[in-house]
Order: sequence, then structure tokens, then C-alpha cells
Amino acid sequence: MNIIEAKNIKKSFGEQEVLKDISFQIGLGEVVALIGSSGSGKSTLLRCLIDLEKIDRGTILMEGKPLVENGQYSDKKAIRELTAKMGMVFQQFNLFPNMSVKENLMLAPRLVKKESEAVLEDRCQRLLQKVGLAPKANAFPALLSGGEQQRVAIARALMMEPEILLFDEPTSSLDPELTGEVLQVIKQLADEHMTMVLVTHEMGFAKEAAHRVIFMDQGRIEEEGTPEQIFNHPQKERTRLFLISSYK
Amino acid sequence: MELLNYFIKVIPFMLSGMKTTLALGVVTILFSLPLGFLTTMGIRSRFKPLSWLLESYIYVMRGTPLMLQLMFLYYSLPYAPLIGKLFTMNRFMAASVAFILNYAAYFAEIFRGGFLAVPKGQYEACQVLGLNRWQTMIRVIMPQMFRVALPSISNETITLVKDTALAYVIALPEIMHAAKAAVSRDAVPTPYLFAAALYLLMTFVLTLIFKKLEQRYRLQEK
Repeated sequence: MNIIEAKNIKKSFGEQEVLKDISFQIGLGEVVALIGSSGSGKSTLLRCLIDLEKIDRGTILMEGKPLVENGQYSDKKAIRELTAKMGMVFQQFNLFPNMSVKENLMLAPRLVKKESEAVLEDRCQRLLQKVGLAPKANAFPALLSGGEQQRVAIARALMMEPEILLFDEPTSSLDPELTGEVLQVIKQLADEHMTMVLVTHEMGFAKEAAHRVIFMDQGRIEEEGTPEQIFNHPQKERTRLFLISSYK
Repeated sequence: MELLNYFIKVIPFMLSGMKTTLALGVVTILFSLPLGFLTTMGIRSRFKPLSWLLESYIYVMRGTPLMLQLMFLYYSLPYAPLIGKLFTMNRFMAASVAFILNYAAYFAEIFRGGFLAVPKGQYEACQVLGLNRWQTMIRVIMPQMFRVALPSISNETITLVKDTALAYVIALPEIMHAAKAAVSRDAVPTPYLFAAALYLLMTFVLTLIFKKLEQRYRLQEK
């Protein structure tokens, strides 16, 4: 079953066409890595899925229901309902600096989900434990390392119990020695069959954790397949060149 | 000794001036902060005519002297055809209106800067977590905006205390007015010194208050 279905997506920023006729599906429980050089449109594509950017043409279906159909967006309420099933983790973490770790986790579910405080407290505890930050519940983001902040951001996204998690270069602004702890959390989520789409430059991680790899180039999907196919037997010249340059 | 005696003699008169100064300052802060905030929100709104109107308001308020605005409100406006009668105000009213309108424009600019300092990612995080516009504004953006704006608000408030002296031009009986009256009446220059001391006292207290506020908001981060 496909959780996301995108058909013929087109998007321009002014004159520049950043997404040129993109189609793909994401299956339930699937982990998909979006790779490609900067400017290939992979981040924009991810942001379109959760309505941070609007597409000009094409269709995005979430569990069969249209977020946008042939360039026509659904009404606000429908969009809200559909995007509520998705969570997103940003390159810059985007934690709320004026709140403690716990408040970061609790804010949105308190305001948006109608669940009891006890249930939320319990989930908050469990998720902080899962990302290894239970002792930091009362710390403020500014006091945490980048890796810790990103783990908090993942826990915050999980508080809303999304059916799919989107990651926009989750380790790109981290020092190399801190990427491991974040990737480990993502790997653990993959093992629990969380549906995930990752825009990433971590080729090793994509190879290891993704079920499917999509290589984008200049606003198009150039090639897609299993990590084995893409990394070991790329069919297209551009894929081969990109992989050579990213292993340098 | 003579100075002290004179001080004791003249200080009740000076303090009555300070009462007016304080009243004008407090009224101005109480109304211009919210008004400035509403102005910023209006400028940010997608309803363009409102945004343009408020931008011109700021342009006029920042582009002309406060002294002129005071004189215009108190001396000129009552002579305006038709509406003049409606705008005939006593000195304190006129001074309050002028100060509130003027300071609201400056505070609006300070708040605008505060909003600009909040990264776009904060709005995006709120959106993907399902917060509506109102929740985003109240819970996430405004606390951050306020923290950035606080030092400038503090600075502007201290400026306000000193600017109240401008109300002298419409003969509002504030500190400057009292000092000048005492100087003329008693033919001594010292009341100006006393006036300076009173202004320093007020700005000193304000500085302390804002330092405390800034510390409190900083502590929240660390």
C-alpha cells in the first residue's frame, strides 16, 4: 500500500524550474533516501510533501486522499488533516529556544491533540528515553550539543505520532563526530518499520538503512532502485559521476 | 547650607512637576506599547491598504519632530475647520496623545525588528507540528520576538522620560516647567540642577528595572 503518491509534480521559483515532472510512491514502512547534489531539488520536493512549499502542477496523494490534485490544492482543513499525519525533522533542528526540552515535546500535542496530560507525559518520557535524552528533559536547547538537539527534534516530531517522518538533511549541520548518534536513532526507527523519507548526503547511511534510493539531478528523478542497484550498479552516467564525486 | 535650605524650600514644587512627568510617562508606555504592537501586526497583515496606511503613519511620526507634533496637536488642531472642536484638549491630554502616537511608531519599528530576528525555521516547525497561526504567534514567536526587542524597548523608555521635557512647549507643568518657573521667580540657577537630579533618579530606577527584566529572560535560555 502506498502512503504517498506523487504524480507529475512541477514547481518553479520565479523563472527557475526546480522540479520538472516528478513522480514517485512511498510504501507503508518503507525507508527512502533522496540523494543528489545541492540544487537538484530534493529538499524542495520533501518540503512540498508537507506543504511548506506549494507545487505549480501535479498531484500529491496521502493515503489516497489528495493534498493537491492536478495543481488544485484541497481546502485548508483537508490539508491540515493530511499533513498532520506527517512529521518533519529539519537540518537546523528548529527547536523552540524559549522552552525546555520537555516543553518542546509537549507544546504541539497539548495544543493540537486532544489527549490527556498523563498520556502525553508518559509518551514524552518514553520518547526521550528512546533518543537517550531522558536526563535532559528540563534543559534548554542552547545548552545541548547539535546531536542532542537533533535527537530532541526527532522526539518532538514523534510526539505527534506521525505515520511518516520526513528528514531534511538531518545531519548536515552537525560535526562529524555527532552524526552517528542521530543516524543511530533514525536506524532504530527504520527497524521499527517507521515510514521515512530522508534527504541525505550520508551515502554510507543511505546504503545501510534505506530500502530504496532515489537519485535526483537538476529537478528530475534520474534513477531509482535498491541501494544495491544504485550504489553498486548505477545505470546512468550522471548517477555514476555523482557517486564518484561524493565518495571523494 | 544655603543650597540645602533652598532645596527643601523648592522641592515640593519640583516634585509636583515630577508627578506630571511620571503621569505622562506612564500613560505613554501603557498605551504606546500595545498600540505599537498592533501597528506592527497591521503592517505584517496581508491586507495591503492597512499596511500602507500604517507605514505612512510611522513615516510621519518618525519624520517630524516630536516638539512640532506637540505644538500641532495643542495649538493648531483646535483651529481645523469642522473637526477642530473635537480635538480641543487640555495640556495633559494633548501631550499624552502626541507622546502615545509618536512612541507607538518607534515601538512598532522595534517590534518589527524583533519579528525579523525570529528565524523562518521557527514558523516552519510550528506549521509541521500542526499549530495554527494564533498558537504559533502567542506561544513560539512572540516570546522570542519580545526577548530580542527588550533592550531597545528599555532604551526607548529611558529616552521617553527625558523627552517628556518637550511638553514644556505647550506649558505642561512638568519638571522642566517647574524648574524654569523657580529659576525665574527666585533668580537662582540651581533648580535646573535639581531637575537634572530628578531625571537621573527616574532613569536610574528604569535602568534597574529593565536590567532585571533582561536577566530574567536571559536566564530562561541558559
